[in-house]
Amino acid sequence: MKRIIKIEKYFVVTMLVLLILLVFFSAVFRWFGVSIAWSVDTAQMLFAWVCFIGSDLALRQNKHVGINMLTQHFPPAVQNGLALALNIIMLAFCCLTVVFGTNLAIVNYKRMFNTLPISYSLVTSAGPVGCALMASTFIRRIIQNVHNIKAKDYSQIHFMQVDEDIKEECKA
Amino acid sequence: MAVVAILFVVFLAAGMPLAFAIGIASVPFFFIESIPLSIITQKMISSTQSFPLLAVPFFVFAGNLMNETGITRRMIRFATVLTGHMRGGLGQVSLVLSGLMGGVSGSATADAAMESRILGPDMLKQGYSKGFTAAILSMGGLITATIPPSLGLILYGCIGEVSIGRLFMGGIVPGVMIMAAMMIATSFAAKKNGYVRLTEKRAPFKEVSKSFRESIWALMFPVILIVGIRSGFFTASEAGAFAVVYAFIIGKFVYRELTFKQLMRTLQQTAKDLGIIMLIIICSAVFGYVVVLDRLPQFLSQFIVGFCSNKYIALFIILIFLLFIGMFMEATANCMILIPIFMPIIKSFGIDPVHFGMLFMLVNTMGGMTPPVGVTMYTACSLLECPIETYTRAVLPFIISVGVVVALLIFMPQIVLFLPNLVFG
Repeated sequence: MKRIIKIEKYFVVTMLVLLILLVFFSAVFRWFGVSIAWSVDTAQMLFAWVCFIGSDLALRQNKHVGINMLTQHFPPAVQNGLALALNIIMLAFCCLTVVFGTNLAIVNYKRMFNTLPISYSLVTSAGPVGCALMASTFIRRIIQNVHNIKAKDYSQIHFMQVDEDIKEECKA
Repeated sequence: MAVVAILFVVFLAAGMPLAFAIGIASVPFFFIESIPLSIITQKMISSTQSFPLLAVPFFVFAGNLMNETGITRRMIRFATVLTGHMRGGLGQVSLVLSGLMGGVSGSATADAAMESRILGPDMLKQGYSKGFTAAILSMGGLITATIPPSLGLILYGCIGEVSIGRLFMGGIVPGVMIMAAMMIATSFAAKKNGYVRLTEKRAPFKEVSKSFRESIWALMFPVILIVGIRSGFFTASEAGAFAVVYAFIIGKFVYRELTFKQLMRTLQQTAKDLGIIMLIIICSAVFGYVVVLDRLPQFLSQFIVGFCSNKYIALFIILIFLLFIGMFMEATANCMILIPIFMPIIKSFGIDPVHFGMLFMLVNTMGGMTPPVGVTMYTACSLLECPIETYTRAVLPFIISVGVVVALLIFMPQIVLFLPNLVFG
């Protein structure tokens, strides 16, 4: 599991660096009168991947913004049940995106970039791939939630820990 | 539409991350109106395909990078020699620091987090009350909301199709006004509570100029940006890539403080920050489609136009509405959802989009600092371990001072429009 996180991390970081270099140098080249037509399309393609893979990176670390003002006062068992329900709903949403996104990528296969001889599916597939990764994160959490109910141990609820994260960062 | 709204509130209250709550609540609308579900995915993916939006990752990264390179420390020194002798010394320093850092990081929450970490402990040690400390450090972030390069203004420009250069230029004066208003409020609070000055006397000119020279690279940054955009040297997104390279060179070769390890950490931090912001934008695109299909902008626009004919009253209604929504909603999501709704209304009243942009951004960003829900407020309060109730009492004077500035800006658009008109014609 740790390996996947690592791969994701390096993937996003590499894409981000490429994105910056690409946009910066295409601007520099333009000042010298050389315009790189494919730079905009490529940059947008890279950005799609950064967005979707980055979303899963943030999800794995519980960083997505939400409200736990109400739920934090509930008893742990209720919190766990609620988390289970929400995780299932979010999993369904991710699956929906994976299915329709894959379809879209197949349909888009013949559509080419205006400036590049590559398929537009390269952009489209960022969505389903990112959502598949998020789905796998939700599946792991659902298993954890069910396990919690069986063991009646609610010390490990993966659920909205924004405040704790900030505190941890503060210590480090 | 009602189903979507109810589901959204239920999901959010139950603790679902905001981005998912927006996206998932929109799905039933597609079933009810029997719209192909594939459009959901299509909208999500196409929301990332906008060149102006690329400015967002670049400026987030540039801000994170500058923080790592020792610019923050130099800025604190500069802010201290400028305002340390004033009443409520550290409080004033924190406000000026927000103003200076606003030209680098462009995010209110990042600013509040940084200041709570660095200045917060010192303020508590010097006898500032917890509520006041949390309030000033959180509200201080509002100063960054309009000072270029403000992330909020970039989003506003992308969504509302307004020139980002003009927005940047227009944001300078309101940012300084907010800073001045909060400094006055701090001065009153300091007098009432007996908060100490940091230094007895005003720092000698020599010290100020030395500190100014040390932080010149960061202070120059917003100036270079605006000159570059104005002269057509780069577009707003290219300016972002330029900003990253600039921050890297300053950190690596001028201050010589940036190590490879720090660079990697900053990159990973940026990837995570982006994931958070972009997933909200991606999911909001689905909701945005629902809003457009439901003809909500036209409906609201006709409603308000039929309701009042005076543009100031219309502005006032919109801003009160935004203030209310902002108390519960997150700022990025508000941008994505509300700007397309407000834009036609603004235009039909003949209000300048740059002028409205400043008002929108100030009130919207302040939404993150007002209870009961607000990310900036949570950040400052959790770092300082301040209960929300204590915070709420202390934040009121600051909200009033912001209200005064916003009122001034509503009735005198020239305060905002003077600079962009001068520079861009």
